[in-house]
Amino acid sequence: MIFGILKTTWRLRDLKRLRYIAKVLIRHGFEDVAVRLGWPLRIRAWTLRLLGKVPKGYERLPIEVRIRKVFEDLGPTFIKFGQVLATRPDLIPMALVLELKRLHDQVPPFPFEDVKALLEEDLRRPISEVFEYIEEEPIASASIAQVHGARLITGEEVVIKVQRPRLNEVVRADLRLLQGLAHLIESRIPELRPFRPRALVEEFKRSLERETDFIAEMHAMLRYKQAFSDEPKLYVPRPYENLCTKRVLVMERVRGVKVTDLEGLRQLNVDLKGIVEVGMRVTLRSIFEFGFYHADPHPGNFFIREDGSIALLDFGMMGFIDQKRLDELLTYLVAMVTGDVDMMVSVLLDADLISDETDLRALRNDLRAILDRYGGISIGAIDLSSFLNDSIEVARRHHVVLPADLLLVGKAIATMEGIGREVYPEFEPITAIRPYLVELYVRRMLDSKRHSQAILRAATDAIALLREAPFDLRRILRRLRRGELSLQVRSPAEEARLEGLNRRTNRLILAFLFPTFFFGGSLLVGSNSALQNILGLVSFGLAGLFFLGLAFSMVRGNGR
Amino acid sequence: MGEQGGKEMTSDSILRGLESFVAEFLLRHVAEGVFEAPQLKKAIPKERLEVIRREVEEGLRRAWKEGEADRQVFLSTLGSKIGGGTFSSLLLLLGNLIKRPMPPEGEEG
Repeated sequence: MIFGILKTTWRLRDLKRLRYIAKVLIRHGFEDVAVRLGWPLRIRAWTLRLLGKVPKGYERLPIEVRIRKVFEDLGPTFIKFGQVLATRPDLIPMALVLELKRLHDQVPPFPFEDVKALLEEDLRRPISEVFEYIEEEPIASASIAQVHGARLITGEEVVIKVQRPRLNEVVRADLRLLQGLAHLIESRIPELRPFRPRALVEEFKRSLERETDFIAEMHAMLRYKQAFSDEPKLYVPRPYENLCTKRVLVMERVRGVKVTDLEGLRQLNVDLKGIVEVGMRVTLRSIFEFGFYHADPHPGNFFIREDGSIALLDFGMMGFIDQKRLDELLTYLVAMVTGDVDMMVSVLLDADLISDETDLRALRNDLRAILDRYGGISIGAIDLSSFLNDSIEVARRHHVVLPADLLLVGKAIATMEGIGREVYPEFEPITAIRPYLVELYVRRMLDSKRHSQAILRAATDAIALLREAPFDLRRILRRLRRGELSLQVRSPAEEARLEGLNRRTNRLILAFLFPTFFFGGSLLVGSNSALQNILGLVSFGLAGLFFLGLAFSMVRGNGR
Repeated sequence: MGEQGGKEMTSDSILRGLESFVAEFLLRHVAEGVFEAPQLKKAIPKERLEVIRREVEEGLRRAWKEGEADRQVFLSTLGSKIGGGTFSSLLLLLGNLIKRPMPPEGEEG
């Protein structure tokens, strides 16, 4: 047990949180998970069972709902993690994806006093020197930050996005816990291993780090504004660069109607079809022309201004896609919208997304079945989100590993489609997207600059390889000659044997420590010295702990 | 500074020269086939397709003509890299490999 403590690297201050995690898991019927996740959670689980505090009502709820409730009860970081999981239909079942999409990170606002203190600390001057006033009531409040309306002393209307106080410490601590839990899940719950918990947490960590850096958000706004300077119907609010820090973002206030407020839009009397076309065009251009797109395009981030232009807000989550991936994606989508299954499979193969377990013929058949199913529907009636979800489901079934950036792209396009259909029900996404994608594909295919750069790059790589090859070869031969070249082979059976050996060694040490402290305690207790008596009791206590550890270890290991 | 500027100019010339060849190849042998593809005709309205074709072909013709003067730079670089330079440097490398004494044990990683 002692060695278990050292191995899990929990910090003392994590223990309270771990006990709470165990409590939440048990509350929603995941006692077995808590027990399998190691001693801090296991002890809590057993204590609650002994006290008869394990609820029974959860049994009536589906497992997906219970998982969602676990995330909700564990607070903002876990809610955000759940939201990230909801973007991975390639990894988790669709029923769970749909349930996790219901997670909202609306949290109570933090006090205005904290807002003022943080602003003054970051801007390094009294707020009265910068702002004429700040509205005390926040416009919005979420797990990362809250937003207040304000006016600068120069007269401009702005909004201030202020990060939650001590957010970094909380996030850091929660991330550490998540990393620890993911590690434990991978090592102790093999059936959850295919969901790649550690990789998922790492991905989440990167995305959260970007989202909590408001300077990065400010740069994203500036970059987006610059990229779309030729798009008069898109409005990106201007950030005030000299008033932005890692925790504070001050930007121009945009007034308008939420894109989903259909009554408000009717009153504005704007061209709804035009709005949807601009929205889709901007989404596609940002992905395929700039490789830099809004990865959180939910309806709340789209406002329609009086002049009919779209104001895009919240650039905290941006997606990036490199040229190679862009080519793959474009070719795949063109193959999809033109019904070319062979080309779709060939892109997946070239992109190295197909695993050894994939049966190519079965994959081809399933993709063809999807295309046939949707091919029978008139092009305007195709629901792009269902189409993408069906494709992802096929990918999952055939062990095609879809990279996160591709899924985010799919999500961005599908969200825009959803908004489009709500605002302008006659909107036909495939009709809108197909000519754009095919045109872009043709232009890229016949782009002499792109091809020549690629050729030059490949030639440079080849020359470098040619130059390095003799030396590498020589090094390998030399090591081979000296018998230093070794092959590492991982054997699960050997690992299990070593783990068993480790467990038995730990037990042996505990079996040695228990009598030592027990007899030591017996000698000390009952003497005339108070100090010796105390030491004796401590010694008894420790002996008890070692005995319990030994007993737990034997019960858990079933005598192994 | 001057040398760096000179290097940049050469690499620009190499790229322009190569692009000129690629543009000519695409224009002569690929563009026609692409614009006649039935999937393309099905996906894009005829008028729009004509506009794209005109723009793409003009772009390719421009890249071909603008880079013509630099083709020689590209060819001579290619010659020195493949025909002369790289071949000779390959020989040199092999020669070094044979002649160079083995590094002491500790040096190898």
